Amino acid sequence: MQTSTRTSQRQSQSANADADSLLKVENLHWQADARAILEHISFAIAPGSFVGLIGPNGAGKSSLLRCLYRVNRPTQGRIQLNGQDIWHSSAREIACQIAVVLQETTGNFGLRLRDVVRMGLTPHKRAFEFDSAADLALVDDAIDQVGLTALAKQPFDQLSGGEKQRALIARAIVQRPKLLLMDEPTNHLDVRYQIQVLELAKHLGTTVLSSIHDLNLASAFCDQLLLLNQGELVEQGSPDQVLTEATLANVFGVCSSIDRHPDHGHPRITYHYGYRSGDHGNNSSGVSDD
Amino acid sequence: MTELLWRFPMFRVSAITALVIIALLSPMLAASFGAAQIEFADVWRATCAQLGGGCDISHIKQKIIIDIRLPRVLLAFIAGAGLALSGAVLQTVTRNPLADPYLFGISSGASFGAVMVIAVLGLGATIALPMGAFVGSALSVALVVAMSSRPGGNQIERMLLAGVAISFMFSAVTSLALYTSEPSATASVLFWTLGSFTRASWDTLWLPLLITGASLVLFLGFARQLNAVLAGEESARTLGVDVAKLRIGMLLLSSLITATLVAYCGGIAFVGLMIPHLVRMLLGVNVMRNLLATCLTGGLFMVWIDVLARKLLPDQELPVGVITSALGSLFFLIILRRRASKGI
Repeated sequence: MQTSTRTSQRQSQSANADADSLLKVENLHWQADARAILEHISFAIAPGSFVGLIGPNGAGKSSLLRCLYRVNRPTQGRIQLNGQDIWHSSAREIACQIAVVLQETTGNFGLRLRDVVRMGLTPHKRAFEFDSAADLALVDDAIDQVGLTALAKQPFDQLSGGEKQRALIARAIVQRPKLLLMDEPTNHLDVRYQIQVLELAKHLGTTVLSSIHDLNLASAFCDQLLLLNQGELVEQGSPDQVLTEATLANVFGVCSSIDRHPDHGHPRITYHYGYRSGDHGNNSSGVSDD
Repeated sequence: MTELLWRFPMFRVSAITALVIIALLSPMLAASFGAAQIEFADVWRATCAQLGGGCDISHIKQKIIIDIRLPRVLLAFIAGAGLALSGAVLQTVTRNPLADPYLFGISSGASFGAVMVIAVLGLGATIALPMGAFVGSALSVALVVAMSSRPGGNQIERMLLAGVAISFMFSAVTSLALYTSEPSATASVLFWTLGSFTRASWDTLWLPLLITGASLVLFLGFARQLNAVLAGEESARTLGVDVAKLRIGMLLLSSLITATLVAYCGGIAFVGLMIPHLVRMLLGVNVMRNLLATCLTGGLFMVWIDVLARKLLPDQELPVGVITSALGSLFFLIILRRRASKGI
């Protein structure tokens, strides 16, 4: 029922974002083991914007991000950063421009926080090149910026989830990217740290593309949202355009009402419960299965 | 615990000083052990006389110390350092604590080459034997690399499984060749396989020294990339490290070290596996610091193992490989047990 409005919205969005975009993805397709995971993906990101990638589990959010940081090679289509195809440059050149905060990093073999942050220098250094005093000052500055100076010598493995994510953001700061990609940076974090991590990323001044699970957080922080469903980009635009009751029902299969958040004025989603009502007969919210 | 102590500069300085003093004294001390009665002071005098000083030492002792003992001790040091180094690097790039040069079929390839030279070509223990061993191990590494150099899939798993399969393949051929050959040939192959530093001489020392030293410099040059791989393959890729290429390059370098050492000294097992673990437990994981400490520790360990090989049985030399395997595994099990009981 929503198809016609959705298509027209998509076209108008990609038309006005094209002009001077930092990242431009055109008709991207990606297959794994002959199974199509991503299809017909086109979007553009303007410099300085904070873009949220949302969608249900298995929609292809991580796969899309992995295409953007050069781990998945697209089977079709182009990804351009500042007008240059990312597959025409070396991995090192791209790493100087795109930093990534991954969902979880395992097995750091006991490296310390400062060692991990210092890794952000890696793409900027050739073999046999040592760290200058300026480099180390940059590392300490970044650690200070995320508020972890007191823990700089702690083993990375022993940090809490929120501290680890902040340390990885500090690593990204040291990497000095034009675009910061984050894959579910708020996963497994307490609500306080979810907000803290996203605020930190938002105030870095770099362009950010982050997949975000929590739609209310996505609405609060993002200038633009990309909604993936079953490997296709079904909606893109401002939170107002993307987060509608009808879209949430179609894509996520939930019933919700949407109003405005009193602080930031972006959409605020209230979910309704009681999906198993038919079995038990104590349906209180007025939602029924059929 | 040690990590904690390590934070104090006093501890760091004294630990490093102690290690360096031991490293300097060990070769001298080790040279005084052996079949002929030689004092520590004799070693000192012989070295001083050799360097043109006016020290008084009998000609025969001078000859034993300078021409036999010292090159042997040095070769033992280089071998220990090189094997430990290649183990440490392979454990880092594969992020697998079991990785060790021998896991990639290098020693079985070397045995295969040696057996072909002795049993099939009928050549004795001449220069042909180390050559054969080198060619054999190069062959096995080439096969492992061919299996794992294509990107995609799980490269580490392919690397390790290919190594194991190639090991068994070469062992089968080696066993067949030994089964059908003369007992004397079998004995000389067996002696060679168990490892020994008796063939050390000043004329041949330069090659293992050059290869181990040059590889150490290269490893240190790539310390930043190696460190990045420690934090995970995907994370390293986002930092612009070509992990697959780095892995193949490091495997080739480690194999070059190991193949050279195996050709010179035979198969000395377990050093490459044990020493890096020991160093990591004591010093943590920072690649730069670790590689240097691993070299020193591996070298010292091997020097003293070789002393044991000379002194353990009266009037007889034990193969070095037997001692490293027996002592090493026992020692390693004790450490593992202690670690398990501490819950680390």
